[in-house]
Amino acid sequence: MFKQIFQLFSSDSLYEQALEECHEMLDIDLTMFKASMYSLRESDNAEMSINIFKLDKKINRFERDVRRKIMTHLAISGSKDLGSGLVLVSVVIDIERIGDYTKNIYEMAINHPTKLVGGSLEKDLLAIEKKVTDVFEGSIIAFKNQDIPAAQKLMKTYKKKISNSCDEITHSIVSGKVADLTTDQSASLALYARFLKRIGAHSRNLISSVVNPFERLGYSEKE
Amino acid sequence: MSKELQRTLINSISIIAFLYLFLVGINGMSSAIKHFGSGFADTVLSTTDNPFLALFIGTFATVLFQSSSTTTSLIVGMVSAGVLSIEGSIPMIMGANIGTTVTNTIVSMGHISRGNEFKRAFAASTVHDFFNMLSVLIMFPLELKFHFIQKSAIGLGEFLFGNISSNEVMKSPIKTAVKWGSKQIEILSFDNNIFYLILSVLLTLFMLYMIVKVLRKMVLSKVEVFFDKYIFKTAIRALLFGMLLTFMVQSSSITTSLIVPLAGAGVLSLRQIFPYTLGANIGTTATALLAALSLNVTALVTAFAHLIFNIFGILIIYPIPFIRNIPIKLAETLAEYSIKNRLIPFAYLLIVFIVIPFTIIYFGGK
Repeated sequence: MFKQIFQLFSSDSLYEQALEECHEMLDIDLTMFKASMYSLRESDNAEMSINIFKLDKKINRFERDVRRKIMTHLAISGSKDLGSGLVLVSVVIDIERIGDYTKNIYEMAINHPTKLVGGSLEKDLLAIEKKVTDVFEGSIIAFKNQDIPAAQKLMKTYKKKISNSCDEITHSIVSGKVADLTTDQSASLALYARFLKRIGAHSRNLISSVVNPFERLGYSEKE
Repeated sequence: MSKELQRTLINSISIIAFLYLFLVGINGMSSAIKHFGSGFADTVLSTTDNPFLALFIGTFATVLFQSSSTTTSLIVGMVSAGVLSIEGSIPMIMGANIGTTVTNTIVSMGHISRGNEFKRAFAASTVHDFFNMLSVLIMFPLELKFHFIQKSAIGLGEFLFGNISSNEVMKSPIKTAVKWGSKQIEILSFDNNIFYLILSVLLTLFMLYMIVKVLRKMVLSKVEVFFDKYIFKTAIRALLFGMLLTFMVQSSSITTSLIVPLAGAGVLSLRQIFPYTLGANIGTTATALLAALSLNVTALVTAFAHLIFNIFGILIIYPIPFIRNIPIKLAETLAEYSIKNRLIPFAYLLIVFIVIPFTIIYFGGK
């Protein structure tokens, strides 16, 4: 008991603990994202090196923990960290959603008979995957370092290179322009493009907290 | 020297200065009352002779000051001056315990527009009210009949000091310094006793306010991690934490009000909060003990009575699950009714803390 009390005395403030937990959640998200992409696109039998469901639950626990810690911090220590506390409570939702989408990608991999191929859309899909990975990895670094120029650059990349490209894939499937894919491939590809877009969007929301004031979280930077 | 260290140093020096001036104020008040002579003492003694009246004076005064530490410090000052007997002070102290719970109940009203959040916050604040009312309900008649709190406090005083008398003083360099300080106030008031009393009381109130303010700033950011999970897992830890935190910030109103938003948000449950508020009851007795140290043994015995009353309250109510659940059930029921009709919490506050004490004081005093 005394050891635990001593640890409490020497520990960081609840806000700092919550921020640290957000960083840890992002690292878990990235591991889940890469493993789920591999499972869907590289493996015929939905190979998975990690227990993604267990990690998703861990992220959910972290989310509740962050909310509780911020609530307690604001109630006890006053309004000094009100803005940053509210930001953390907001971005933790984005971080948790990213985890959900990576889980959705893996669930699709389990149900898809073989690895997912993009056919005539393969080149575009590869480009999007690379961009989403870059934006997500970059967002984690920018968020951890509170790097404003990097965050501004990544926010622009999302709109130009992820959002529009994902929509193009979905629209071309829905409009029947893609003829070389089977029904299951088309459905999976449309869903996959949607999941990638959402992961990109939540990454954008995350770094908008580095650039924007609280009221503009998740929106583009005001000129 | 780092800024953090500088700030801590300035705050620590401020606390010592405020504490000294608080003791000067209490000492000055006691000394000014003594100057009024035996006629004044007899009037006050006869007014507070009625224990029911004394009980509600204690409640009403604490509701007005929003601080039981202030009321009990003034009570020990009056006992030290001889205008209040130890016996007469005990019902007042009991009343102060009831009155002090008004602050966190008012804080919980801030959640009134939000259904379940208000229900949790209101129950978390009124559980303290009901516990303190229940302990008065049990111990007030027993005290009238057997004087067990008074006897215990005197017993403790005799054990520590041998003789209980207002002439018996604890000699120390601090006390000499405090006496010198109160003499300066007397000079400042041009030897007018009424001015001397007013200045001393104002100094006491203001210094206590400043002590709490600075301590709150110093302590709370350091202890916020204790509000997370670990401490509230067991009742004994929560009780000890409530006691220590209240001792550190010298105000149970602050420590019990702090947890109201946490209860409202569902971070802490009513059952986790309950022992913490009981700890706050014990911690808040430190202010009067501190004030009494600069006065005389009789004042200290009164401060002991405050401590003993709160310890007995916990010992009588908390160990037996049936009795322990009474304040919890009452708080939950009142909160349940309060979300159905939002006038109920207002009526509760008004009737319990204003109308009843005021009516009894008004008619009882005639």
